[in-house]
This record gives sequence, structure tokens and C-alpha cells, in this order.
Amino acid sequence: MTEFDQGARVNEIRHESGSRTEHFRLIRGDGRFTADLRIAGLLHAAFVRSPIGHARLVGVSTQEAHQCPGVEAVFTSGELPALSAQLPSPFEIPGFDTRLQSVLAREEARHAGEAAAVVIGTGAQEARTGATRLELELIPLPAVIDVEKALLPDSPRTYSDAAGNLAGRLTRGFGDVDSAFKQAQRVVSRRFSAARAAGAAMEPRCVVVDPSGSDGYALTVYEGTQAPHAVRRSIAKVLGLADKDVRVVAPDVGGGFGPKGRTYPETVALAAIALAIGRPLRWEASRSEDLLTTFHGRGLVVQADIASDEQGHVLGLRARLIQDCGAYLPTAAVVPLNTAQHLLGPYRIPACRFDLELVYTNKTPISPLRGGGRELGVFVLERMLDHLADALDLDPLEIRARNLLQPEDFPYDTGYPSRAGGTVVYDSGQYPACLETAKALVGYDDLCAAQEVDRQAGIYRGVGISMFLESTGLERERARAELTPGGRVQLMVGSPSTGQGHATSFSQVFAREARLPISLIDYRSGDTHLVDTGIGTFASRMAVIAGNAAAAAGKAFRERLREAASEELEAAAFDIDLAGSVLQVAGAPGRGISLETLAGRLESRGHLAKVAVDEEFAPERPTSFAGGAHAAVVRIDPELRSIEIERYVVVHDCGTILNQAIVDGQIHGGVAHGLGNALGEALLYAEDGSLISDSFLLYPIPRAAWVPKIEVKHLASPSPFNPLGVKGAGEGGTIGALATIARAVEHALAPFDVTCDDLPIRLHDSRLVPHAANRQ
Amino acid sequence: MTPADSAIEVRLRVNGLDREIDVDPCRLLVEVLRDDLGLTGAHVGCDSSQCGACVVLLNGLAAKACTVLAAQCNESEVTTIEGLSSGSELHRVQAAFQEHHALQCGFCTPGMIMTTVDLLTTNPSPTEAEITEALHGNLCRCTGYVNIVRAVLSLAAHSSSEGGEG
Ligand code: FES
Ligand code: FES
Repeated sequence: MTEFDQGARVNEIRHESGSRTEHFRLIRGDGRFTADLRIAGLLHAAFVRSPIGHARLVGVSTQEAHQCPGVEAVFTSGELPALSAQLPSPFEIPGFDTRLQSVLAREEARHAGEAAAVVIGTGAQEARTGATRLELELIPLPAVIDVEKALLPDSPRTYSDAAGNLAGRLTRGFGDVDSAFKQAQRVVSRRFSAARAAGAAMEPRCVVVDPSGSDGYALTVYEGTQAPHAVRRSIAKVLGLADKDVRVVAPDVGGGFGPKGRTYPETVALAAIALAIGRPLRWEASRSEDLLTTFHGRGLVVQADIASDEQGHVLGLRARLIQDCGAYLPTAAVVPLNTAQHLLGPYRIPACRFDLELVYTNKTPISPLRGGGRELGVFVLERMLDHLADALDLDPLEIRARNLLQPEDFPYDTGYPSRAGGTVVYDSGQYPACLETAKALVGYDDLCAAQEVDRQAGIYRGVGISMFLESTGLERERARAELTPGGRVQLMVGSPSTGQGHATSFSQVFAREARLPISLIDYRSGDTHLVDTGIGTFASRMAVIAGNAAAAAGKAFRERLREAASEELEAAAFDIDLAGSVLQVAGAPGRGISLETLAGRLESRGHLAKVAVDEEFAPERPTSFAGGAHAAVVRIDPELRSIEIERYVVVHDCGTILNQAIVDGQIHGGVAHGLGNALGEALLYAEDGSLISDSFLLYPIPRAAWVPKIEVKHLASPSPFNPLGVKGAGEGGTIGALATIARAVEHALAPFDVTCDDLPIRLHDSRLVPHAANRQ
Repeated sequence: MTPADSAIEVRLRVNGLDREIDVDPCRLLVEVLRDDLGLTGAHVGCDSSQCGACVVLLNGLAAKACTVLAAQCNESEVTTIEGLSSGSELHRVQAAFQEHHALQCGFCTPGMIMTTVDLLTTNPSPTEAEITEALHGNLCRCTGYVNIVRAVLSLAAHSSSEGGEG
């Protein structure tokens, strides 16, 4: 049962109909995912990939594939200039040895799944059969698998022309860390690791490219992407086209979680080939292809030291972060930089230094994945506080309380250098209240008190509580709105929804500001044709940035409507108000005009465009900080080594809540994702760099019976950095879950002296199967 | 797609309509539904029979349409998500999913709904444990299953339907 307190209710923008706008199509099977599109004359593509992590490509024999029935063409990297081009990187780091992937591998394949050829067939099956007949002549090379060993001088190298596997080093921090450690009365040092994990969106990647020009574009690309505008930029750049020649559409997107925010070689290859042969093309990843090639997340080793006084006040924090980047750097250092920044958490930390090492390995590239690196910063910090508490014989909640920022500290300048320049400033929060609420809700004191008695009865129960922080927002986003000839309103936002219910939340915000019924609004997004700019749906940024853009558009739209009506009704615009779908002259009942009539009249005079708005929200401080506390109660059977999650509580502060059901859903899904990462998900590689975990059998994600009922309590501290007061909510569920579960397991197994600093947590090295508690 | 020489004729009753189609004997039911009959509500989320995005009712029972050859289904009755409701009227399982916000991206949803329909046919009052057991073969990455379980529970015969968002 979700709880909701009065404080937050005041800030909720009430939704008129209770139902989510986009649900109706999806529950009837009328969703339109990329794989559902049907285009006449469509050909299908299948990729031929390296099965191992590192190999020299000495030749490709295509003859047999060509002879397969239904095979129309075969392409290797030399066939078209674009196929040997490099995928552009949106970021560059000075001084880094930045290696980028080429669309098809040329001389070497540097991770299992890297494609070297494409077979085009009349059907998907024909293309796939052709692909099995195409032979890559590969000479295996030693593969770099272990990220720490990769740094040893005698390690094999991902790039033979490089001195080692280090892509680059970065240092971040502030304050005098060395003297903090000199003065410290207590120093605790620990090593942590997190396995690689997959986004595993239920919709595998799929691309359809139409070069027919029927919509006026040289190329129209359909892909379930989180960032259509970035995909457009990359395609245009590689193909030497202008952005305006390429249209990218994200139809319904079956989950994103970060990895679908990138431009992939398959997309660019299809675009290049479709343009060359003048036929529409389609490629759909199988699940194993998706696990193999869709960028991975996590993959980090951290050595951390924390310094404190005898009372547990943190004086300084040091960490060395070794990021397994895979074979290429498509997102530069975004992930470990997020990790480093989130090592500060919601606490007052006077000094810190973080040394980041980005390391190439013969594995799939790394991208942000639900949490985007933040989850591991929070994991390491919260674990360090637990260990420090244990060393000082303090309650772990007490040590947190002593270091948490207080409500009066905001806005709080952390002193940490921001990527955008200046320093990182936290906007708002009530961290002590979040901690206290989580403690009370889960019954922390009683659980601790009962532990001894329980253990005597053979019951190993533990409770973990930890804090989380989530930077959300970033950059800019636009919202456009137009009055349609029929008197409805079309609201358009650049970046797509990938399950976050944007149609509902943003229509709601817009409708409230425009004073229109939400039922009049048709929402569209994720199409570069409709809105020419968009950054993408990631970093929990859409409610913060696009939400405020929609609000501004609503406000402006109301003014345009009143101006248009004032001409019709011959009254001053400020005298006109909206009631339902009627524009009414104030104090003059009967003098009104319905939206439909107004639209009709404007249309007949060619003036409909007068009622159109285009608002960009690009705030000075585009980052807000959601935060809160997670609490978990676990029961462990030491013999079966099974973990049962008896309760899971999230106290969440994302500022103003636009739609509570949607926010709760984000938290539920985020926690489940975090439980997966904490208790089982790991992408494992063999010595030769082939991926072992290439199916849902070998990469099990949480199932219904694994996930407990997740209780959510909202405390709202609206952000002063944006007009709506919103802070993002997409990733806090995942970010907070890792350390919370780790502590709960450790607490339950205190008699066994188990330490849970490696993710996923494995008891006695055996895979754990969590069982949910009996739901009442 | 041109049927291979070996194509065989299959008679199906799909969502109440009789269909006769020539299929290649190695094509899966889900491929035929999606590609030949245009019923794209059943989705393909995996290649190892693990995700349940493709679940349809085959002779009234939930079946993973990716694990059945179309040729095996001769003279069978198939109901897909598209055939569950008529007009703007929703099936009660669909209505419960809508009511309880039991979907986010919606990719897993048709399979979840079809599995639930089957569950409620065989067990009109499932407990929470029976629901999560029945949904074991249906993966969802978005919702954490919390609202899905809540939606199904609201339909259990013994449930005093919660109504509204919980
Ligand atoms: S598609 Fe995954 S079980 Fe059928
Ligand atoms: S709603 Fe997205 S996978 Fe279930």
C-alpha cells in the first residue's frame, strides 16, 4: 500500500481522470512498437558478428551467403564508405585515448558481438540463414577480460598500438584531503566491485529505415530509442547528410533504462545500406543479440578510504575508481563521473579526492544504465558509512544522522566541481526526516531488539537502511502546442516516453496551466519532425525539464487563445477566461465561444497558426537533486542460502509530484531493477571474451515472485530551481536499493561475518535466489 | 514472404474468425500471427521461451506463441490480445490493468493480460502467491510487478475491489 502524506498531497497536481492517457492503446494490443511497423517492399538485415572478444579479421567469405535463396545483398565494411566510418562521440575528453567503434569491424573485432558483415534478405529468416553461411576468417587474439588485470604491465592489450589499456585518468575533488586523513582518529578502507549488468528492456532493439522520401526526408528512421535527435545527428554526420534530411521517430518504446539512449552501429549500417539500395530495411535483435550488443552498465571496482573523528563525523573521503569501459568509449567518462559525484551523497563531506581510471577491455561498451553510475557512488558511500559505524561501534543510522545535511543547509554548495562549470549545488531536501521516517515505518528499533531472540530460534533476520541522492534534470527541452482545426490541442515534446507516462504527466501540466480539460489534449513526442530539438529521455530529466517546458507552453497557449477569442468576441483579452472548452467573457454570460467554433473560424481565415506556441525550458540551474531513504528487511536461510525480502520501504522526495501513480510506478520498477543488480544480475564473460550470460536463463532478471510489495512514502521538498518544483524520479529506486540490501543481508548474517561489498551479493559463492515474503 | 514449396495449409479460428493460411512448417505461431495476420499485439521479447511477451490463448489456455509451430495449431482456436475486447469496451482484466497503472512501456502487457485471463479462468480467486506463481513465465522490466499483482488481486473473486489508485 502506498502511503501519501498531507505535505506531499498539497504539491501534487491532481489528475482529472485517474487513468493514464497512453494505457488504452497498449492494453488493447494497439501499441505501435518499431517491430510492429509494416512497410511495403521491406527487406530484412542480419548481422554477422565475432563470437569472441578479440580477433584479427583476415577475410570474409561471402560467396555461400550470396547463393542462399532470398539473400539480396551482402555488405562488409569496405563496401560503402559509411560502413567503415566511426560512430561519432557526443563528448570528447582532452588528453584521453578515445577509441570509437566503426560501423562494421575492419581489421579487428574487439568485443564479442561486434559486427563485421550484414546480409540483406527478403525475409528475416532468409537474412539470418544467409548470415549463418557467411564466414568470418578470424584469428583469435588474447582477450582483456578482468579490469584490474588489464592495468598490469604484462596484460594483453585491447589496442595493439597503445601502451596499455588505460583510456585516461581523471581526478575530481575539493578540500584538503591529505590533512583530513592526517587528523583523522579513524580511517576505514574497503574494496568494492559491481558486475556488468544489462538494461534488458523487454523490447529488444529494432530499427526500420525508409529511404522512400515519401514524407519529404531523404531518410526516415524508426527506432525505439530514448534519444531520436542524437541518433539523427549521428546518422547525418556519418552519411554526410544535413540534420534536416533525416527524420528519426521513436514509436512506442518498450523500455529504455539508459542503453537505448545511444546510437548503435546497426542503426547507422541500416541507414547507409537503405540509402544505397533504395529499399526500406529492418533489423530486429534477438534477445541474445540484445544482451550481447546493447551497451552494458556497471562494471566497476572501487578502493575507498573514509576518515572520521571518534564520533563518526566524516572528515574526508578518498577513492580510486576503475571503470571497465569495454572496447570503445561511446559515452566518454559520463558513468564514472556520475559515480564519483554521488560518492558525496546527502552528507556534509569537507574534503574528497576521487581518482578515476577508465580502462579498455574486450567487452561490449559501457553506457549509463538505470542510475547511470550514481547507484554505485551511493552504494560505496553508504557501505563505507556502515563499515565506519561498525568500526566505531555506532549504530549505522546514528552515524548517518550525524553527517546528514539539514533542511536549513539548502541550497547547499558541495564544493565539488560541476561538469557544466562551477560547483555542484543541491537544491532542496529533508534528509533527516527521510531517515527518521524510514526508521519508524520499518520498525528498526524493534527489529534490532528482536534479533537475538530470533537467532536463538534459528531465524536470521536483518534490516538495512540507507540514504540515496539522485542528480536529475540536465540541459534543455522544448514543448510545442497547436490548436487543431477540430478544436483540439496537439501538445508535442521532443524526447520520447519509454514507459514513463509522459503523455499523461505533461498533458496534465499543460492542461492545468492552459485551464483546458486534459481530454482535449493529444500528446505526441519522439519525432524529430514534430519538434526539432530534444536531448533525450534519461538522467530522470524529463519531468524536470520537459515538465516545465509543458507548463510554460500551457501558460503561453492560454494567452494565445484569449487573444484569438478577444478578436472574435470583441472583448479585451484579459476579460476572457476559459471554462471547460469554452472561452467566456468575464461577467457576461452568453458571450462565449467554444474552442471548436473558434478553431473553425480561425481555420477558415487561415489564422489557425496564431494559436500555436513553442516554449523551451533551459534553466540556469538544470540539475535538481531527489533523495530519500530505503529500508529493507530480509530473512535468510543460511542452509539454503536463500534471501527472502520481507519488507521494502522507500521514503522518497522528488519535490512536486506531477502524477503520483506514475512516480510510484517508477519507484517500484527502479527498486526491482536494483534488487536484480544486488542479488543476481551479472553479465559473465569466458576467457576468450565470449559472453556466457546471453539469455534470460543465464541472465535472470527479477520475476514476479522475487519482488516484494514495495511501500512508498513521499516527503516533498519542492526544488527552488524550477517553476514546478520538480525533481526527477526515474532512478532513485535503483540507486537506493543496492546498499540497502547489502546492509540488510550483512545484518542478518552478522554471526557469519559476511561482508557484502561485491555486487551481486553471493552467499558462499553460490547464486542466490531471493524469495518475496508472503504478501498479505 | 513467399511460402516455401513445402508450405502446408493451416486452418485456425483467430479471434472468432476462420482463417486458412499456407505456412512454412518451421514458422512459429507468433510469426504467423504478427506477420501474416497483422496481429502485432503479441510481442517477441526473447528467443528462449522465458519472457511471456508472446502469450496468447490457444484453445482457451495461455500458451507462449513463440514455442508453438503454426503448423501444430491446425483446427485450433486462438485468442490474441486484440480479440479480448470488442469496441471501446475493455475486458475486465484490461480494465484492471488500466485502473491500477499495471503497465509502463506496455511491451509485456499483452502477455501479462492473457496469462491473467487464463489464471482467472482456472482459478477465479487466486491468492497473491498463486498470482506471482502464475506470472512466473512473464517478465516485466518496468513495473517491478507491484501494480500488476495489485491489478490481478483486485479481480480475484474474494477481493473487495479496491477501486481507484491504492
Ligand atoms: S517471446 Fe519470450 S517467451 Fe515467447
Ligand atoms: S511495462 Fe515495460 S516491460 Fe512491463
